Amino acid sequence: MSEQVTALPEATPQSVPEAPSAARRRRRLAEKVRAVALGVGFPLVLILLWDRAVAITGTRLVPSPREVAVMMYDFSFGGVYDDAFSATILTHIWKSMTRVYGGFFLAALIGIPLGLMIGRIRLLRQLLDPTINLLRPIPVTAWLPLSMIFFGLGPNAAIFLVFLGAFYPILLNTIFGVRSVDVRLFEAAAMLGCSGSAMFRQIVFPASLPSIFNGLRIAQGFAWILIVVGEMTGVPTGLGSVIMDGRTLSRTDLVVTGMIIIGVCGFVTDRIIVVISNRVLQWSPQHHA
Amino acid sequence: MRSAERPHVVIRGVSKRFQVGDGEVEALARIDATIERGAFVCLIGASGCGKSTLLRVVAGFEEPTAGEVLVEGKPVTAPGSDRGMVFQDYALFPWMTVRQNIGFGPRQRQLPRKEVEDIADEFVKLVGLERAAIRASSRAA
Repeated sequence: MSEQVTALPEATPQSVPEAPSAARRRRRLAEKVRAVALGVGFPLVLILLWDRAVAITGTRLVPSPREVAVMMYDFSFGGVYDDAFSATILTHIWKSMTRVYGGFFLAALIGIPLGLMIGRIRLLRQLLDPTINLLRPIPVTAWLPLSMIFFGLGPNAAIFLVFLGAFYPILLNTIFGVRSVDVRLFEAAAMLGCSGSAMFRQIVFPASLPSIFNGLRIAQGFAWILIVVGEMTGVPTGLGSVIMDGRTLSRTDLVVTGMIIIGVCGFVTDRIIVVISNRVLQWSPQHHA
Repeated sequence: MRSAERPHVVIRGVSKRFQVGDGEVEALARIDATIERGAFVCLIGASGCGKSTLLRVVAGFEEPTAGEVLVEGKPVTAPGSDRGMVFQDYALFPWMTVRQNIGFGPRQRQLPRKEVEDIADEFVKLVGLERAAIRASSRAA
């Protein structure tokens, strides 16, 4: 996990045109070490505080870091408690991933094209904007009963809930992206004979990409947040359902274990999106600063 | 009648009013002009008198409030590659390389790839940008 911290988008090599001297390379290495030390150090301090707080208060309701670590080990490899949760981590991560990414990609698949069109076509904006802003504030949790009626008990209801949560950030950021593109670019393209779907493919979409990637990052965060609600829909496996089971069984070590794994999954997904976005957006001034 | 004998561009009674807040601003008031094929025409006037607005109407970016513009006898309804306008600030596509920017227009005309590349190379060479040709245009400056 510590290696991923080094991937924070700090200095990009492209921003320094001259060949790096030994001194500069050393300085950059020192800067990297510092970033890792700070990035990893802070959560370690938090864990220490957590450990002390549990020890000092003597609470039995909140597990200590050690208990969570044991649970994490058993969840991953088994051999400690040997119960229904031992060595099942990959199944649960995999099931949750299919739901999170299923809902997320569905949201991107619908949200990005719709956002591009709403951003560009006034009629569509006037038609849909009020409805979107009316539906948007409705909490995803409120959709839970209806989603179970629409899609029945099972993964489809979970995917739908994740989709709902991921859809609006993607849609709104795409619309915002289109609206903030310099109109001159559209005019220049139109003048050169670009129109219709070619305009969307060649100009509107790439020009809006910086904002679209922002939307995707926010949306993937929501998607992982919503997996717990999503898996309240009566699915037997998945990290959300593990947390729900832990709650029912009063096993807070299991709950915290599930929380940490969701956090790590979201973190890794975010890193992946950032790496892709840094590659795709090399041209964008605010992305190679 | 052959096209060379009739005016290439006809601006007929073009007016343009913009909504500004609660009021209206009249940018163009019944402009008439005819331009022959191959003519070099200068539009001269004080700042804010409507030169750019007229140009934008001819380019098809703005719809006139009244009147019409004909090019080759056909009314202008939208921008098109038969009319070119050079913007006051450059309008480059920052996600494309210098060569892709140059080749964008030819590519819209569905020219074969080889031809698009030849055209791009020709103009890259013309302005001496060979060394920056494959760089993103946002960084070529």
